Amino acid sequence: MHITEQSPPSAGQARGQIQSLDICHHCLGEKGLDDEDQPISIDLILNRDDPPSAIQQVAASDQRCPHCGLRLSQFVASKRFGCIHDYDLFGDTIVPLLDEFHGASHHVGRLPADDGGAETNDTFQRRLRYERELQDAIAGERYEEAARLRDKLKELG
Amino acid sequence: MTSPLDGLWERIPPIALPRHPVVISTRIRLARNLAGIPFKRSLDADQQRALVDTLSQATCTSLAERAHMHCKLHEVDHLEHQALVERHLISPALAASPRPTACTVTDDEAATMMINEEDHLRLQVITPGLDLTGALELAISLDQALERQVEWAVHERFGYLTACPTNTGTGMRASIMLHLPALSRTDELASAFRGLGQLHMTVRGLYGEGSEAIGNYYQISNQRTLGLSEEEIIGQLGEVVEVVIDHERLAREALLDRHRSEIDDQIHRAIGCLANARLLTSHEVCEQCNWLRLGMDLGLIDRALLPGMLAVESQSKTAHLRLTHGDAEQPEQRKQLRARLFRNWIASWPSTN
Repeated sequence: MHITEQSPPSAGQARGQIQSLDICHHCLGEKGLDDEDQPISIDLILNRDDPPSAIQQVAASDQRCPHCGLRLSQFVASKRFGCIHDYDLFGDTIVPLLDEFHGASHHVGRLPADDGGAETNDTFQRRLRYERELQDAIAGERYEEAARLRDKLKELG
Repeated sequence: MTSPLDGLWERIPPIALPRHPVVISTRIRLARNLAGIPFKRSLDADQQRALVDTLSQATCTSLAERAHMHCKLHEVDHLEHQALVERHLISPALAASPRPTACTVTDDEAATMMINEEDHLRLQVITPGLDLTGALELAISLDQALERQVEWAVHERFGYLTACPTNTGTGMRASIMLHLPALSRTDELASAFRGLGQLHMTVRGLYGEGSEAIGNYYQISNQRTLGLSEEEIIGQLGEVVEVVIDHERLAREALLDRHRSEIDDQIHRAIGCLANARLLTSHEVCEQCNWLRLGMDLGLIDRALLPGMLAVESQSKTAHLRLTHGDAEQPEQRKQLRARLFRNWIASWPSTN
């Protein structure tokens, strides 16, 4: 990928400063920046974007999510959460980041209707449990139990 | 070995005659995650397989009344991943992922549901020309159909929750792909794009190497997904794009006014190249088709030839050639095949062209 950026011209200048960068998709992926929908900038790639000072201060205390184990310092480095609980746990801390990026920190768009498909999410949990039990049964040579678990997985579709 | 995608590569993609001389396509992408399930970085291998199976079933069920195809990408050849990217049906990130992933695609190729990408699900709608409202309506109707099957992770303050907070809120990225040959030629792109950053819009040149975008294709997208409604986002994007379109139209009028013979010559040189070349690279195809497209938009070539051009362009891409021709393993073979496809296409033109 090639990026060329031109900053707004200063007073008396005909054009702003131009900077360019070439980077392969592999290196972009290693930086967690290979999502083609994400806004990208040379400063972001070269880690010249410093997190707001409020985040730097709290990252020093390095709070940890009890659900997924993510530390705030890990989020600051990768800009990726580990689970939905991180939004509540680190919510007050990331609000300055949201305000800076989005210019807002409250959702005003649509939300799902009330009759959401919670059953499918239960199906995920049951599928996960059966698959893990199936692997245990095969490893322990409990083939009748394995067959029963395989049938249960088939019923889930 | 059979693949769920067998037959797709020989099929000409559904192509509607674009209704707009500057805008190539409109895209809406929604990012969604299942409630109660960790985000990508925290999923172990078992959870990923269960996620793919669960969302595969949910996406297919939600599309029960629309013809569609489904594919678990880790069960098909990497070459088919590349062909899906060439067809704009999946993202490069999904194609390259070493994790279990899947996609469900409507047969008209207007909508794709990508599973286990950056988020649990990425829903993408693409429509030809400028149609933000139509694309948004389709995306929301598909999302609502999914919401009858699954429960998304939603927060009363932050909206639809995503792995990266830059996507949270609506989870929506709206993009317009534009063809800007006149602005590129007259070096006026910078002024046309000035101020987009302050409006929280981003611009990407597509298919580029060096400082120019090959084929003069550019994509403008919203940056903000939080604090605006979906309608406000497409409203702002639409206003910005209209300004860029006006710049391009004026630049094309000026180009025709001052350099008509030069532009006409360039367009017909492109026809000559495609009609006679014995070797063509993908880069050359993009550049020459850029001139043909401009010729059609300026009325110098019959616009009815556009669907044919788009079809040949699609079939001439690298992975498509390798999947449809037994003699396309080597780059030299593909250059020859590509050139032959275009020679045959131009030979089929009505004589008035």
